[in-house]
Amino acid sequence: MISISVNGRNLQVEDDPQTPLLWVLRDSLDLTGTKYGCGIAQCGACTVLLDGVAVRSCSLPVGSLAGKNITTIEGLATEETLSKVQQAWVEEDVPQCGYCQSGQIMSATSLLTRNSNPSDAEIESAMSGNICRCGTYPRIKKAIKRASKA
Amino acid sequence: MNRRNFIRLSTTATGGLAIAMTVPGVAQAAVREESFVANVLCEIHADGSITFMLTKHEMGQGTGTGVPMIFCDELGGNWDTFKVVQALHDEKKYDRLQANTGGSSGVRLMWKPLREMAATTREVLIRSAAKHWGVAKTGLYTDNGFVMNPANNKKVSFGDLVSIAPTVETPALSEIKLKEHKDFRLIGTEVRNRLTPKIVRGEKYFALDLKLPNMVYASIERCPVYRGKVKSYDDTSARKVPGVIDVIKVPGIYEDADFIVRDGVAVIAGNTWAAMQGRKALAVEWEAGPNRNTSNASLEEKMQSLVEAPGEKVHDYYGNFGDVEKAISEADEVLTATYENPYHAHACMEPMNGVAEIKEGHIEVWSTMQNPNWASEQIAKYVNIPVEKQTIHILPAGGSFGRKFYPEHIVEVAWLSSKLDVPVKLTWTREDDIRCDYNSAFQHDNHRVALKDGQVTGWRTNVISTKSWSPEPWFPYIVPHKLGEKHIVDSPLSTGAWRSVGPHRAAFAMEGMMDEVAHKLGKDPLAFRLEMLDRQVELGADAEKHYSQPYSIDAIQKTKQVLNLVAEKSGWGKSMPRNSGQGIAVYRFAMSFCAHVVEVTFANGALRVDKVTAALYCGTAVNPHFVKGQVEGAIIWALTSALYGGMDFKNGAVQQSNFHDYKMLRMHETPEIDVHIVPSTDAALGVGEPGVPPLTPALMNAIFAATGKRIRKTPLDMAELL
Repeated sequence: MISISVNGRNLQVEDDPQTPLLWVLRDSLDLTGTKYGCGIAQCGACTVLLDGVAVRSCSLPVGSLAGKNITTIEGLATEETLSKVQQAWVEEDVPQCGYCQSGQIMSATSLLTRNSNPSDAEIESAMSGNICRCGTYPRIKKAIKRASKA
Repeated sequence: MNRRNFIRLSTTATGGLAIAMTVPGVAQAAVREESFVANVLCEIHADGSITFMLTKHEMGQGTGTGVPMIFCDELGGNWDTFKVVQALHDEKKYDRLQANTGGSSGVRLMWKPLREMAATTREVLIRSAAKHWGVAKTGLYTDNGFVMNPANNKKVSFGDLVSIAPTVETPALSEIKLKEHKDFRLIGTEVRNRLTPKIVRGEKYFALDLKLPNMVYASIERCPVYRGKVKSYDDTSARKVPGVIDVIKVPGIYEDADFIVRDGVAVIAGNTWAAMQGRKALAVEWEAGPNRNTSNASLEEKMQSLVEAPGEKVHDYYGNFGDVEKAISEADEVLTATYENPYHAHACMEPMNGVAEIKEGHIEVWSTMQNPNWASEQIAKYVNIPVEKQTIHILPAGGSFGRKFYPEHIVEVAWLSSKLDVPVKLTWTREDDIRCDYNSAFQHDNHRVALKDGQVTGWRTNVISTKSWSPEPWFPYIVPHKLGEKHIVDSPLSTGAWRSVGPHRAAFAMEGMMDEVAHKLGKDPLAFRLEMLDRQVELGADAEKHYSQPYSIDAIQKTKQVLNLVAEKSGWGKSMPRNSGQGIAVYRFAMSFCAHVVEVTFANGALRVDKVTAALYCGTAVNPHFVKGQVEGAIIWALTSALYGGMDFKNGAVQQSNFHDYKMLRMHETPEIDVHIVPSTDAALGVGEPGVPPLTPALMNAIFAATGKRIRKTPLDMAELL
């Protein structure tokens, strides 16, 4: 049994401690908003926040996470209210297929938490670990700027 | 098509999917007593809301918003209460309304039938309102979910007409009138993606997110060489991995080059991670088969040997006329060049996956698929479950670009479910995805252009490709003598549809060669193209006939439109800084036309793509927000393959495996993109692919302008610029 905190809830999981957080979230906890894209921390589809900082959950053994606070895409909004990043994503209507967008939103959330008014170069640097195969980068950038002004 | 039923106590008559895609922010309609099923796609509820069955596959191209917009607008419906539900696969019920989703055909092929269906329903509602009010139908019209009577300013909700509608006569097609362009209320506006609010919350959406009771998880080790087989395997260690439940040999299917399932070994486990770990513990010996000695070098050598060889004539649509050999022999000079396209993988962000369950001989499948009829047919054939005992849920794709046209993931998971008594989810790894793709074809295009007295007199093209699908170049330019030939060679890697199919390969060569000829003749590349579209040259009877065909005239006109628009918007010919250059190219995909101007800078050993300006003709732009998004995406897609694409294969096996060695364009490498749409009231056309073909030639032409280096091979080898 491993105790982890996900979206403010303390949970016990029975997975092998070596299991990457990604698969614990998806298969054991049924939190499927976090996506599998590459398994080797190259694409960012699996991005979650660990104590507020963007990390790749595909490469993070669940056994190393005791006492840490994990936030997934499901933990950003309340029933009624989207986070300002999610809201900006809606207003710019960013997604095409949507598969990479959870990871993009988590990376953007992490960026804006530590830098509330990032420059173009800072946005590009923070988002360079997230691949979008549909090519929504121009709209992602617009949404991050919009969120930074919200 | 105009079947009408009066249904009581029914909101599920249309067979909605569990993961229903409803308009966000609008509560699910309560179960009402009455509804009016207007046709196979549309059910009108007593509360005035409408359920519309989406038969096409949403894969990010926006068809799940664009197609319903067409119907809703023609009907005069209320978009806010227009619920869109993904239809199950049902060939009998939907026929051509479902078929497949590909070739940028969704909006193009649905435009007319959908409008006719909606206009028929609109007329039924108008007749119903006339009966309801006891007035003549003349002058009544629909607007935002109501039938309006301008004579007395009365209106009645569609919902209040559901019990009358089945009692009025359905009009014949000849009695209905489609809306005029000026009367559209949704079409032409920037309606937002209906799915965005779900996506930003990470709600369940893809087949990969599905979890059924008692479900097990599968991962398959497949033969790395196309057409190879499992010789033997030892699963002793795999079975000892915690969580592993079973190991099953998967039989390959290689009967048809267009549909294969690779021979392999499946590991079944209690979760995805355990299945993947079990796979790593397998010891498999492969019989690599007929492709075991192939490589990029062996295929290049084979193609080079055919560059000069006479091939099979391409079809007449391309245009074969005059006497090219004579034009070449009489030329002052003949320009010859060969352009090389490698294999490319799709690398959709969502890897191939599916869920299947068999209960009492009936199979239920949840997956992503562009061609559900094909999936169904293959399940019947290889899993031996007839179509009438299949329920196939078409879930949105996390990107497809042609990849999910091929249903081998569905046959794999369906076959596995026939060996298990519980539901099973199959997940491909990224490595599986890169190594076992249906790649874009490997192709060499050789062009020979005869020049005499500063004019193009003959043009000969020889295409050598691993895929027979339209490898030949589309060619609007006026030339007196023209010949196209092709050679189709066996493919050592599985080959298939890839965003824009054949045209992106042919365009690179064709529009690269146009640039070469322009420079050779000392002409501006834009002016040269316009001149070649407007030539007053002597043509033989067969050439005259070709250029007087409606499609030739249309192609010339549309090509000029997009060239002129892109030139104006990009500031073509403006003075560029040192080491920078502009490149232009134009191409057609399906019935749409696109031109790009690319601007690059090469400095300090690095290439920067600064800006891409695009002009698109797509008939009526149903939703300009989506149209522009698709062109942006197409540009980024094509730029990725031009700069980073290409499979390296050796001993028949792809050498790359994941995003560290099969690179994708990222945000910091993405140029500024400026998309313009040619205003039009013509029938709506496809927009997902037309932005791809002209990008690579425009890029390489810009590199030539900046550096004087002519690049004829993708992916770009930076060493060529140094």
